[in-house]
Amino acid sequence: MKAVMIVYNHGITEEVDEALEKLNIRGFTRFLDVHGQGSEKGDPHTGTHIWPSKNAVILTVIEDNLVDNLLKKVEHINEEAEEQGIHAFVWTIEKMI
Amino acid sequence: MSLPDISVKRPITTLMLFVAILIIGLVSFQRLPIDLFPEIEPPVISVLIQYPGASAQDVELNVTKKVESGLGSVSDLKTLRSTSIDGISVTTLEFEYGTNLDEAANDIRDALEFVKRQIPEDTENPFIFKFSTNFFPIVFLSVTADESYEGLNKLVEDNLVDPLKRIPGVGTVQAFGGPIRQINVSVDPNKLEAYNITTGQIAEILAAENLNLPSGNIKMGKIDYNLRVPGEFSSVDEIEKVVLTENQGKVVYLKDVATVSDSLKERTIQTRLNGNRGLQVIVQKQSGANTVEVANAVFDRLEELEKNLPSDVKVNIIVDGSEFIVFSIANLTEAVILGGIFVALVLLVFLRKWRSIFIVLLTLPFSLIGAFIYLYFTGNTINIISLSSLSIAIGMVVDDAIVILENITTHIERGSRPREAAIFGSTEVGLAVTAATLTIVAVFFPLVFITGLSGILFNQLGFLVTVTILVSLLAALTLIPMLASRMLKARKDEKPIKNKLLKAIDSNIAKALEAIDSFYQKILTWALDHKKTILVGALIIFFASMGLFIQIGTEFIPRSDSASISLSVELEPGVKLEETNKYVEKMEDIILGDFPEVRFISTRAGVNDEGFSSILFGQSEGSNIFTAQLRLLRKTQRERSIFEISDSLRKRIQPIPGIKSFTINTSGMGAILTGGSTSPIEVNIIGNNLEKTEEIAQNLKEYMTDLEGTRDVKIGRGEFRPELQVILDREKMALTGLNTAMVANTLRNNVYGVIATKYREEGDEYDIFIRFPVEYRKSQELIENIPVKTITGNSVKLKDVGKVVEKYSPPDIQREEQERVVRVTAFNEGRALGEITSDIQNYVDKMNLPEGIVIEYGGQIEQQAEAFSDLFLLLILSVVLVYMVMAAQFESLLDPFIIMFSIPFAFTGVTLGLFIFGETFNVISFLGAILLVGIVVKNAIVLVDYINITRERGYELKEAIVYSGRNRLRPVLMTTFTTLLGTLPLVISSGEGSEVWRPLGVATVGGLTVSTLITLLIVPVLYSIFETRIKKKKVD
Repeated sequence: MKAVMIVYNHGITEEVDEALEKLNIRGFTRFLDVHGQGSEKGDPHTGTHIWPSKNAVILTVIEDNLVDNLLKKVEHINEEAEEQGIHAFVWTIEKMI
Repeated sequence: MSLPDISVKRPITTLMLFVAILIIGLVSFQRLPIDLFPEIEPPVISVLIQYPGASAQDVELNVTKKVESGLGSVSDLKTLRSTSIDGISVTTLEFEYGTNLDEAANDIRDALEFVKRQIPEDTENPFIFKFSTNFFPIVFLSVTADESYEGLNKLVEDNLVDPLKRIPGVGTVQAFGGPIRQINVSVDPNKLEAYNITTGQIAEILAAENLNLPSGNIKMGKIDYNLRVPGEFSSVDEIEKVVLTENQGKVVYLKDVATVSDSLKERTIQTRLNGNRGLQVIVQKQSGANTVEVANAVFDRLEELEKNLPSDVKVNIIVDGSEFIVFSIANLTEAVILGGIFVALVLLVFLRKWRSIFIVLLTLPFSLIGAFIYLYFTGNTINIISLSSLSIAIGMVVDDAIVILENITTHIERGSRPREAAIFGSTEVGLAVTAATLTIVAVFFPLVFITGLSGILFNQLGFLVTVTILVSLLAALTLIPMLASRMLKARKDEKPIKNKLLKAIDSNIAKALEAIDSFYQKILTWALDHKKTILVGALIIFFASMGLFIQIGTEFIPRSDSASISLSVELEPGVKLEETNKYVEKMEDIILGDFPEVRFISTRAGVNDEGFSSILFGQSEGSNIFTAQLRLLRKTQRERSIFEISDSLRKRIQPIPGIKSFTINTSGMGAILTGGSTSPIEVNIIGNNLEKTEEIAQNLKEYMTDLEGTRDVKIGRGEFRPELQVILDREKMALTGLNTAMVANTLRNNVYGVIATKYREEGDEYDIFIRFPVEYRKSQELIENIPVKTITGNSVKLKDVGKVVEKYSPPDIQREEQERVVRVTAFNEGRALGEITSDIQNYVDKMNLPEGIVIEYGGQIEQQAEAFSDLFLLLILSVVLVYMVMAAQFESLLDPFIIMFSIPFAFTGVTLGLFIFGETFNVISFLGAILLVGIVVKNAIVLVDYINITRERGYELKEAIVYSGRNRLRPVLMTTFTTLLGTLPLVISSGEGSEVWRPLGVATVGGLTVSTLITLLIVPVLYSIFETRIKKKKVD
């Protein structure tokens, strides 16, 4: 089992939802209105007057074979709307109840 | 959850909300009455007391003074004025606007109870008259006739006046100037003396004979009989046969001493239309009734009624109070629609996407409809003020929508789906848009605090624009995101334009806009390198414009061409009606012959109902005075304006010998309500001494007549006029057993005449009037020979107890604040009121006024000063409020300060606009200047806000300014152009009533153009200067 954390701009919520749906991923946890900033490029998302946009985070724990498909989808979204900003991070789940 | 969030997620709810607004709005709109102005109840109450037979001076001393001191303490009283003429005292109390007039009337009634004990007993009961705009006739008809002239009065009463009265909404209908039937009893003074009987006795006998008296009832058998004495005259012949007395055993009938004739009342008034004899009918509406509806109903009914009149009787409409309203409203509606079209064109150029244009334009109807709902539920009407408010608002209501839609589009271009872009794009700028709207509200809302007459006009403007702008904000935050989420297309779905022509246009406009952006960028970079030049240049422009401002005249309210002129001509005092009529005919010839623009001329000479109604309205009447109402062709159908026509008419009247003074008033229905009915220039000479004040008045009149730009200079107090006074010798009277009352009554009965009783026929009553025939009262000698019956029954001639002398006395005495006042009034033409006033003030200041005489200024000068000080206060209030809103928005005290620098240049623009278009600085243009405060800072807010953001994002100061300038240029230009073009129709329209709102348009367009151009340079330069200085300080 792997955990995939997708951090994305609110503006592309629908695209992310559609990606999960297509892969039949049912379980997820979503954090709304989170702030963040890329390491190299892209605008900060701090929800302020200066940088008004905000991020959201989806944390989903999926079977290993789904991970690559999901990352591909994320990559595709990033290609479509690069200015918006989307990142995915994957790590291993050791135990689950 | 924010508003855009909710509305995007619940599109049906949002849609239903706006459909509901639409439906309620349309229903309201349909039911809204149309009127010229918001309902105004002038806070004026007049107290009228009749003191029959007293001269103006007697009335002043015995009645007016007492009434004034009694009423002086009524609360909320603003000014107390009075006029005393022969037999009538009128005291006019003007209250502060907003005073409860019912309470005031009660206070007056109470105060009068006390006054009653001090004034002579033979005064009649005080009559309290509440002034209202409903007294102004909405329809003025003139009826002429040839063969039917003798019976015209009854004919008109029965077939015109009575049916018209029954129309719902019609208050009163009055006919005057027609022939009135009267039974005249002409007594022969010689025979009276021979039979030793007086006119008074004859009157008593006739009254006693003309009687129907129920005398109880009698029960006879089974029946109860009423007992009556039906003694009333049943025919005119019967009157002749009344027995007066018995002389040497013979019965004396009335016909033995007098001739009884069924004829007409002696004329005191003569009315004519286009040179034909006739009478005038005025129609007044009920309070709250709709002028346009009532007038239309009257005209419809009139068409039917005319069929019942004999063929020689013609009815003409002289004044149609609804006409000006209908035309003005039509013109303004056109301006609003045209404004909407212009706004759409601006959007087309800048957005070039029909979906975007459609979405933004939708805010227009909804905001306007919101205004109609407000109007309906607050009981207002569609009028000039409300429509011009809408016309101002129309360019501003799309601003919010533009900003929101622009941000949504940016998000879509970055790859968001329309739905997400709509929510986040709107939420991001929602606060900024709200703040910008609040600055506009901060300017318009304080308008509701203005008091006085201008307050009534501007309160509605304040509320309306506030409501409209708030509705547009609501639409921008809900309807716009909802529609954007549904209608806009994502970046990947966007289709390129296929039509070649459209594509060429599209790319060319895009290139042009790009070129403008680059051009501005260059200039801005240059300006930032030459800050001093820019600052000095701006200062020069500002001070030069202030220099220009002095050149612009000031006035209270612009005059409008109402297509009607009223002319009032006064001949030498004492001239009789027959003589005056000759002048009327001459005037008719001149006007009908040489002024083809005149459609009707309706004249009226002499006195109506003893001058009762005219004194209330401050007009003068007299046998030597006549007035003419001219109705002209529509403004658009003639070359000359009424002002030019009046001026050339003045030149024609001036040389006519025998005319003492005349005034030509061009203020129509509208001006009456805006205060234009009072003379523009009014100088009050206050002092008790009749001769000295008269001298000063004459002096001032001469100066004012020679002054450039004055017309129709007139002294308010009529010229001392000749009168015959009977000076009685009390000793001789005592010896013959007479007193003053007996002599005076005898004279009055014989010369003025006495109404003995009424003759009734078919339900109508006619006066039976006893009097000496004309040949016995046409010389001083004949009057001296009038027999007076003494207490012992003997008869003496008047000359035995007194003598008749010719004297001069003032026909009227005016007072203000319990002191005598002489008013010198004038109209202005071709020169601004403010300039003329300051000339007069200079002249007066140099005058050596005798002790006890003070000069004050009234009329529109006073109203103008009051209104200007109110508006100045409002201007300061607006500036402070706008600063506060901005300070809160920027969370800074400095940034709003920089932004405020764009305001002075708005005034530069206003001055330039007024100068170029030849308008004056009046209440309306002042208002335009105030409104600009809010509109103008909006541009600077957009700019400074973005510079702040860019700097925070890490740009260097200069870089940030140039980048933001280029980036924000389009939104600034777009909102400026929508406001500018939305108001433009006000400037270019030339129809009826356009003169009133034109200064507003000129001020807005001028101010906005100049201030936008200058703001785009000055504000960035100032920003750069302030920020550098502050940074230096911080570093130090």
